[in-house]
Amino acid sequence: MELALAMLSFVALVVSWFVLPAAPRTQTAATVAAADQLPTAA
Amino acid sequence: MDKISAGDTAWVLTSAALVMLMTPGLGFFYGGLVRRKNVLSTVMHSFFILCLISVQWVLWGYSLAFGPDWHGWGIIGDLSWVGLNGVGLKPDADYSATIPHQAYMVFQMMFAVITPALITGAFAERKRFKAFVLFSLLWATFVYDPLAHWVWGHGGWLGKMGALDFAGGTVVHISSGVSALVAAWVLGKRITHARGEEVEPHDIPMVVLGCALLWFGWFGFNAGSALAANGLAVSAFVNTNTAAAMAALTWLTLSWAHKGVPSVAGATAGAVAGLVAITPAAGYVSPAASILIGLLVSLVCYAAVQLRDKIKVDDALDVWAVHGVGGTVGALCTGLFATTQVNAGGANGLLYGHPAQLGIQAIAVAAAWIFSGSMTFVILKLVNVFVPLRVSEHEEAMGLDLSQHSEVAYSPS
Repeated sequence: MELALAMLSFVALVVSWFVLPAAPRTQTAATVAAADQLPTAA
Repeated sequence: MDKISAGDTAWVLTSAALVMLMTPGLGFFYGGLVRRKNVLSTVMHSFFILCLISVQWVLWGYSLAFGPDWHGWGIIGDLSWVGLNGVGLKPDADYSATIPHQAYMVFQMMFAVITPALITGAFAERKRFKAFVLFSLLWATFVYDPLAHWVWGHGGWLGKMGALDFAGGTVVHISSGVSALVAAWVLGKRITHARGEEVEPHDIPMVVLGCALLWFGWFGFNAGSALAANGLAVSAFVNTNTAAAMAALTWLTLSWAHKGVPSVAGATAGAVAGLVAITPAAGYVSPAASILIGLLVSLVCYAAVQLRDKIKVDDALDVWAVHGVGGTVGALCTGLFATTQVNAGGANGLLYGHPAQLGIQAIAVAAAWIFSGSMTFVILKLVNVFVPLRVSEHEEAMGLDLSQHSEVAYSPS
């Protein structure tokens, strides 16, 4: 029983990744640009 | 006379080194989760405890935890092993018949080190360094050492009752997690949290690095607890990796479904939750059960994080939700899934025809919650008499790196 439940739960997780909605963007373009510039900032 | 095994000794010493690495790894894990003005103070908590408890353990901690039982009450060890008096290079058959007693002592030392370090995540970004030092020393002496004796010490009352805790679900994780909740409640919220402001982790790659070091070290933590280079160690190793992986996948899926993104920090939190939950069970359950434990712990701990949000206790890095609740899930799952087919020296759980084991595990869990929670409250109040627990508002706003250590993590030059 343990093995069957383990198998089922793993497969359910994998399937769910393809069903879950696309991720909304929480980072703005400005935030990403600012982060990209950090290493070269004098 | 007991004969020392070279293989067992090599494995236990290697495991001790692996567990040692977990504490600075924890420093990185926690350090990445705080703001950049507090990263050094957070890393320092773990590094300092490594030094502090290493000495405490040699002087009196090991004797209190593992020394001969005081008056036969099963509560605490006596002081006959103070300064490692009588703890030599011959095996002590009560603990492990094939390795030098000092090898066992140093392996256990690393557990004593990391446990108070786990609590520091709850009071990150606001606790005064001197108060942290005093608290950690008192907590190790009056909470960890007795609790370790109850479960693992020769004659300890929980061990005698038959409680199963392979590598520290009760002793390490429930004790630190519950203490973390109490500490966060006593210290109060960070200024930013009191204002309802969101605080983001300052360095997620550092969090992943810390998590990876924890995961790596956890092989010593769990597989080393077999105290021998044998099949039981292999079983614990396999279960440890499996549960961590499944818990990480589950947490990631939950965060994806809940917030719409497969969070990187969430995956690391899940991995740690899985490692926590498999800790008491690692040497007693099958690999399939470790997958179910990984699944269950992430479901419960993820819910615990949401609950902690609702009760408004500022446990800064979710130590209670991951370690306190995760340790509880692990201890109870041990009572469900344990089987003597894996470890003849253990016991069967509910699913293998021995429902009483689940009751014993529940008693051990309740004892650890009540003892560590109440003692932590008393210790914090006592420390506050001598040293204020919190830094001033000005110091908190400045950041603990500057206000407590006069250093900065990332120099602008």
